[in-house]
Amino acid sequence: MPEPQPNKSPLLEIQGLNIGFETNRGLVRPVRDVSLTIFPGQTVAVVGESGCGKSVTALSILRLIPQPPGKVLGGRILLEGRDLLGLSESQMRSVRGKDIAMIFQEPMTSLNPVYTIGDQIVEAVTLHQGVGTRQAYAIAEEALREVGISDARRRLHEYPHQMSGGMRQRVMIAMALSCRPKLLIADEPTTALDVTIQAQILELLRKLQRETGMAIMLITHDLGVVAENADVVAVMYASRVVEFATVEELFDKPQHPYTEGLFKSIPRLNDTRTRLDAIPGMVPNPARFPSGCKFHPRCHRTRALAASQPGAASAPVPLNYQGGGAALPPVVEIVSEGDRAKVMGVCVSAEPALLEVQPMHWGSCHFIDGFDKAPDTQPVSAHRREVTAMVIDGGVQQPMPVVVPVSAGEVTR
Amino acid sequence: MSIEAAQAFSNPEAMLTATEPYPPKNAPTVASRSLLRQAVLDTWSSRLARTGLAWLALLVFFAIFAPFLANTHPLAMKVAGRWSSPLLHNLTPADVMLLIDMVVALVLVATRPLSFVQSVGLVLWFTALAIPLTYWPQLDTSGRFSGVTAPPGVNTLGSVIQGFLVFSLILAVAAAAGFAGWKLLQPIVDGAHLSSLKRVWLVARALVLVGLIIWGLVRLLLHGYHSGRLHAQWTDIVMGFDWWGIVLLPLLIRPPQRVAAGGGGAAVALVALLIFCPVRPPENFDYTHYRGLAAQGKVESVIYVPIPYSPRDRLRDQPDARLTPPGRQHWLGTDTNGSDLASELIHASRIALSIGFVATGISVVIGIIVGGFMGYYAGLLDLLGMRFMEIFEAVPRLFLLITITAFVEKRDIYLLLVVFGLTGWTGYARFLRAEFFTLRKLDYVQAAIAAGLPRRSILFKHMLPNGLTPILVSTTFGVASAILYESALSFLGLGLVDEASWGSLLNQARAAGTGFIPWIATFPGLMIFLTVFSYNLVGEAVRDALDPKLRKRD
Repeated sequence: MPEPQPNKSPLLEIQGLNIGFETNRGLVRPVRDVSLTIFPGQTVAVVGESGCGKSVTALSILRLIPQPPGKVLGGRILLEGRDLLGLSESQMRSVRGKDIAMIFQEPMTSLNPVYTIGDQIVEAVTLHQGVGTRQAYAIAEEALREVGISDARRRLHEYPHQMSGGMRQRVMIAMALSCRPKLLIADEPTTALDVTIQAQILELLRKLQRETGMAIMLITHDLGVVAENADVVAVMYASRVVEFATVEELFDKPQHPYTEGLFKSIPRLNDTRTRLDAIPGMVPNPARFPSGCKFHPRCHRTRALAASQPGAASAPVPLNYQGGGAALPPVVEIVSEGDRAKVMGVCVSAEPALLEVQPMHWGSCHFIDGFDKAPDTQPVSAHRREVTAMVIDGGVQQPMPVVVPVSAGEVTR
Repeated sequence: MSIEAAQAFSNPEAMLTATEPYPPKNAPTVASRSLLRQAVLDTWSSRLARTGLAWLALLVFFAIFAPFLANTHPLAMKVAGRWSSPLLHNLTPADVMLLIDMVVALVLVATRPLSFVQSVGLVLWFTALAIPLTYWPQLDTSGRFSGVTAPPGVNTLGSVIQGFLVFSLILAVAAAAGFAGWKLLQPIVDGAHLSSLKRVWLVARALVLVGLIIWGLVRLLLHGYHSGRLHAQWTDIVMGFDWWGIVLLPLLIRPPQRVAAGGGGAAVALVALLIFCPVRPPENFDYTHYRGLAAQGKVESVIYVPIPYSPRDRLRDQPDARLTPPGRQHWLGTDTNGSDLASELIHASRIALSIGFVATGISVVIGIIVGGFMGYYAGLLDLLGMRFMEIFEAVPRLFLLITITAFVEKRDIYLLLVVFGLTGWTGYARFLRAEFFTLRKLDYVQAAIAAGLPRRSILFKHMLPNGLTPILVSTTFGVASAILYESALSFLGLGLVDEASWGSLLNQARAAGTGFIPWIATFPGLMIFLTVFSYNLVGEAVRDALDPKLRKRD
């Protein structure tokens, strides 16, 4: 495993980011203490269920969170050493699109229906590159060609409704990349597309990354996408990063019970089970987070440990338990959505920090081996995997098994 | 799960080509159409809308060619062996500008050098030219140069040039001050992505735009007073400002259109100057002059227009002319003053159309600005704006109009345009505010912000065109209601003072001492009804075209 190269300075550093939203039910904090570092040319995947705070993190990098009600409670977002949170709005506008570009989940609604796609690309190009309209059209045409749109010259003068979803996502990518950003934030870029188009779009992103050397922050809930694309993975759960590792480390040795649960819930072809494993329960509402480790009401590891511990549990503890850390016995009983379960007391009373549980592998769970003695370091990894190179070379590596993708529903039948 | 297995699972691309040809072969090609163009085509496809548009087209025809349809001045006349054309000689600046506008529109329609939106913009631009030009000082028939109200000794052309120079000086000083101020502010203001010149240009452009809008409104209001209370020299200086406006306005438009609009505008201005300087129609013409000449047998031959009576020709040489019922000589009869009713109706269509379009246009612009800012910024601005609008709306519009117009002695069309415009904007503001509330959260607006586009582009380019649909629909109904309100005001005797409008003619039908006069009630009433009805037909079709979900059929 390659060590982080100290001579390479990070492109984007998120340090201890905290985001809050003022609602009429009080302050809601969808992002807490998130730290993330992205190096040039690297793909960092942020994985998690809906509502875990990954999109809010991405939007806050571009300062797209509506303020009010949203506000930054703390932390820094450094782009090449410059704190984005301290910039004026006009300075921020010159960062958006030029240094950091973003593509959105829904290609069907991300293009303005009243302008041709050429007009939309050209507007950004003339703004950020200071070229004339004619030259901007040439750049836009080239950008469309780069993303694999044939007959680019004619396509420039078409309206979004004349294109399919996959084509529109290509246009979005062309628009985002026409200004050669250093960082591309892709917020679930393939979620709204069908599987074959997904593969094309991801391959396109990889190709463009190789050509331009940009970094990608890939937000997704699809572990297959992560395995294909990511160098480094941050797993988010309930507003925090719970596990951070290189993609190989994470897939080989997942440490956090939530990550384990995610892997178990992927359907496999050579499997005879009739039901998929699912993580019980729901992602907690940010307005009513459980106390302690936010995952404890759904955690299989703490339940298994509690079941093996002798001794009866105390009276049921509420979800938003407010008592001090030491007051709880080793095993407590919790009530969550009508379900009673025994869990370890420490999970209810204390929230685990994100510690380096193994070299270059950060986890946040009381019951990871050696968690007590793990050093509290910044989760930073400049890792770039070699798999990418093997994919480029084709034939050099072992031929991959060809798998026809099927939906989860077909597997479970 | 190992990484290879995970990869294999989501790796269907091995059996795919990454870029399939697009579009598929033999796919039908659909021509690209802008939304506006599609809406116009859809509107046109409705038969009822075509009927309504036909009537409106007839009205536009009346408005443009009014002097050629009903005029006491003969089209051509031979006196003492010489042919002359009193009609052409007595055309007003407004007459000529409307004709120029029409020619421009026809040329644009025929040759299509610009896109649909640009063409509409260009016609509007030439129409805007007409407003200052109607006040251009004119030579009277004796060839002496005098403004409409210039006291003896004031050289009107001189004061116009003076105004032009004064305004140029102010502009130069403002530009220099702006540049110096910006140089001082430069360390504080971030100009990372804008060259200094570009930023100065942007600021100056915005200032000029705002200034011109405010200036135009002040100008329109001032006009009501200029004849009596304001010194004539000032009004002429004002005209000099207007000419600067004509020169500067094209600079506000984007480059490809700028050249066309600027060049065309300059050409029209030059032509108008050449026409108006030697020609000056007198304010009050003795219309009996021609009939007198004819009676004396001095006219060797003469060609009249179809209705040989001007609307203000009160037939003073014919004592029995008052209240003639419709007949061979006066097709629709005469009114209580003895003027020909048909002629008055034709000339009054100008008032109806301009009240409808200009007043509604002012309302829409105010509504868009107020509603747009409220919808985009929301929060406190929205709260205050809504309360202000509610207070404003608490007073019924007709009462507001009566209250304002009742205190103005010299009510001319420009006063009415401004007053109508200032009282009718709340509905448009509400519509746009509601649209912007939904628009600002949409993906493409977020994407535009994420692309680093400036706020004016997000507001006016990405949000406004998508939020205009309900405004376009309600504009057509707004035009109809403005015409109705004008008729109501005129009927109550609070309309235009020196010109007959449909409403004031209707009022004459019940004039004191004469009882009810059926033909004066019927024909103006019919004009009002048909016009309002037509606008409603068109409005329905526009709504169907823009919002297919509301369509009744299919």
